[in-house]
Amino acid sequence: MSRIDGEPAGPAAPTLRRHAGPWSLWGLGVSVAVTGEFAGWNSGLIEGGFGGMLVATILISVMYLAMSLSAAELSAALPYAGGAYGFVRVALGPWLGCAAGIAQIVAYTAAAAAIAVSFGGFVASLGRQAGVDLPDFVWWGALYVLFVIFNVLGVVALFRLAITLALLALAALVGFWVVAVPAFDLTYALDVVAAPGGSTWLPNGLAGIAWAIPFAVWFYVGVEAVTLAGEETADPARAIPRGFLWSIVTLIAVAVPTLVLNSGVPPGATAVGLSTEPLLLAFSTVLAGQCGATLIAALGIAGQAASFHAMIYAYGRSIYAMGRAGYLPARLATLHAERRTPYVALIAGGVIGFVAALAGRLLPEALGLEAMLIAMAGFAAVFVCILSMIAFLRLRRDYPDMPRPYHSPAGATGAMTALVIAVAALGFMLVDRHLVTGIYGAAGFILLGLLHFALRGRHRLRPAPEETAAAALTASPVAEADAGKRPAHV
Amino acid sequence: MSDHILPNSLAELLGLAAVLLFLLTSLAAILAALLVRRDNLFYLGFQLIGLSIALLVSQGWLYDLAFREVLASPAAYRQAVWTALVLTITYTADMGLKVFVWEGVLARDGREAVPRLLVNVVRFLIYLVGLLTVLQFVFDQSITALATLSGAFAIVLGLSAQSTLGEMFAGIAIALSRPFRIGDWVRIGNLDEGRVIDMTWRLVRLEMRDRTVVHLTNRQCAELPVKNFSFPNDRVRMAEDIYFPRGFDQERIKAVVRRAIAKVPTVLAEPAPNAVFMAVRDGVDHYSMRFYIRQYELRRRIVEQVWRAVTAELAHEGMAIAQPRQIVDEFRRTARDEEAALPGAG
Repeated sequence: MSRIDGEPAGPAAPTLRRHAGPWSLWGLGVSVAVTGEFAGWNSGLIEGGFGGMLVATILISVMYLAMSLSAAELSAALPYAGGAYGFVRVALGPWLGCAAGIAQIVAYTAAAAAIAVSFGGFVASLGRQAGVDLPDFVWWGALYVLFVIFNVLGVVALFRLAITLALLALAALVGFWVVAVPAFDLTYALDVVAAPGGSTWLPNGLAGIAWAIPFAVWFYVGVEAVTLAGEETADPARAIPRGFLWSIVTLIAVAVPTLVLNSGVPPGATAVGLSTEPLLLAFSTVLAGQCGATLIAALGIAGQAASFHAMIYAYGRSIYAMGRAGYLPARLATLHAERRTPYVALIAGGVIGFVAALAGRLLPEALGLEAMLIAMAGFAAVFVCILSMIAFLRLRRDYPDMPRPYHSPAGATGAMTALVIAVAALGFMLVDRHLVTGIYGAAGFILLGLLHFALRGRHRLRPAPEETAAAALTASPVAEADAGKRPAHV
Repeated sequence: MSDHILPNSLAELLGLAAVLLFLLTSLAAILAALLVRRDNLFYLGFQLIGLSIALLVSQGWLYDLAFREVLASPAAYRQAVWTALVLTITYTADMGLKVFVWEGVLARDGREAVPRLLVNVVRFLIYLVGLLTVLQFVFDQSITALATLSGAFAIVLGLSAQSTLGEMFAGIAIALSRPFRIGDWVRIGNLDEGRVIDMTWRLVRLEMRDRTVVHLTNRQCAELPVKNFSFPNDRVRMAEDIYFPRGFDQERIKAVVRRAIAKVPTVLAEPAPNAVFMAVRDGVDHYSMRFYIRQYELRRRIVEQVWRAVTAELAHEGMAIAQPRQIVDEFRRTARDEEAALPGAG
């Protein structure tokens, strides 16, 4: 049994500053996931063909919509910096809370590192055009330093930057659609060669839909970072549900046209599916000779900058919350006295991400560390989604009278839908040989975190908001009233 | 598999997406009902309707792909899916009645008040209609005999349960028009006022002030005038008569009485208490003290508090309450008068 002890933060200890409203959270939610509209999803075209990818995208869109509604309910009721760690801790206890928190850190840190590599590549190519020829890893480090500074500067600046970058990324996508619509031809989208037994729309048969599902997740992966802003939101009960839903609706609204238009223009779905920069490939092919490489690189930068910035925010809050509660060293929960941002957590996550990216450069290319980072992030995100939905269902069942400022209109059915699709997605990930190394990596980090918790962390839990909320719920009149209905296990 | 078996157009692909989506959400709804709460079974009906429609529009490719071994022909597939569609609509109607009627407007204290037998009869009739519809329109079987039998059954049932059904429909009317709720203080017809303590599918129970309980049928309640002291207005005006000797300053009396009543905490501040000069009668000035209360069940105690406050304030002001006096002139007949009245006297 874990124990909460230690001294609560004194009155003089700085706390996170409340600033964000619905639009700030919208900016954060769109920023963090928007890079998935630019790249990552496209491998699904090879796996499932255009038709398979379209069906997979519809299913995953429904999963994320249902998940967002449920997570908005949880986040409005438990608005803490730990996000999923907080929900899972309250509903399912410290062990699974720890697993969710570590998985959240793995997801955002790995995703930030993967983005740093591709983002750095773009900036390096721009630098070379401008006559500055530096190794890529120097740019990675520079980008980490720059965006960590943006995040340390303060909550007002970082949310403004998130909104600006989100708008720029969306403008880039709309610009692409405008260019792509005249060139659209369905035959390009259906050019993936059918395997025996496949069809034009489903070249790998119905199984192709299943293989495409892990890639469709990329359109939305990370949007749940909105739940990490609970302690920095001015009116969480009102702002978080709005910001969350506006984000997911925006992402759904851009995912479908991007999938259709990026696949349906030259050079076609096969080439786009194999590309590392599908949007830029299609853009440069459609506008062959009509625009410079600078414009193309700028287009790529918009989405990556937005997500890199938001991912740094997300891992910073995740590490901060876990350190504050005692699952990780307490020093990671240090806030900047003036800026009131978790600068130690931001720097620590940046160092880990940079080292991971650098290791990918130094290790043999066959290991494919960048792909592994992407797989780690995807697996960890789906794992967190599964735990969050189980937490939602547990709280709905065992604590129906718990104060909930926002009720998910999809109710338990919505959470169960998200859970069923997420479990299926996780299953498909586990049998995909391309992703299995990353999954082992992420699972290894989660196990390491649990080992640390077993040996040290559980004896040093501190009264962080998430921990006190869990203790309060079991001791509250709500719990006593519900005790007759179900046994409390928290 | 070849091209014509798998979905191979946008419409077919969207049909496939709809089938998968409704299949997953239906499965999720069933799991949620089993593991969390059973309050979403009504919506499961809509998901199953959606699934049936998706299966119907996907017949072109789905039959060859998945049902050829199970169903003999596309016509059999159509029949199976139409049957599923009609039955899911029937299920949705049944669940809708459960959620909105049996456990909705007709529920009392959050539980079903209509007898289980009646609910089951209605449910049986709903599924019977669904089944007859399937037989007639899906399987092209004549249902005349069955429909006649059902009609005769319904007539017999209706006649034998006429009174009961009348009460139930009156109960529905009361539930919808809401002339009173449980806990309200009401006066129904010429009865004394009482508090509604129970409303069932057949009866309304009133607890009177002397703690006796009066049972009224729903039909009586629906036909008699109902005066409600609690709903929709929860403020009730009280009026108490008070008398003062002739010649007292009216404005001073009103001010003192208003001030005194305002001191009683259970009297509402708004609308403000008042004293109205009514008449000169029986040698005194007649006033009416008027004030509003919210807790009608405490009216006796509040009136007592008002009188205490008024008498104390009047004593403090050196003012006395008068008693109305009626002068009765008594005329008595003397023995002489009696004799004079006798016939032949004088």
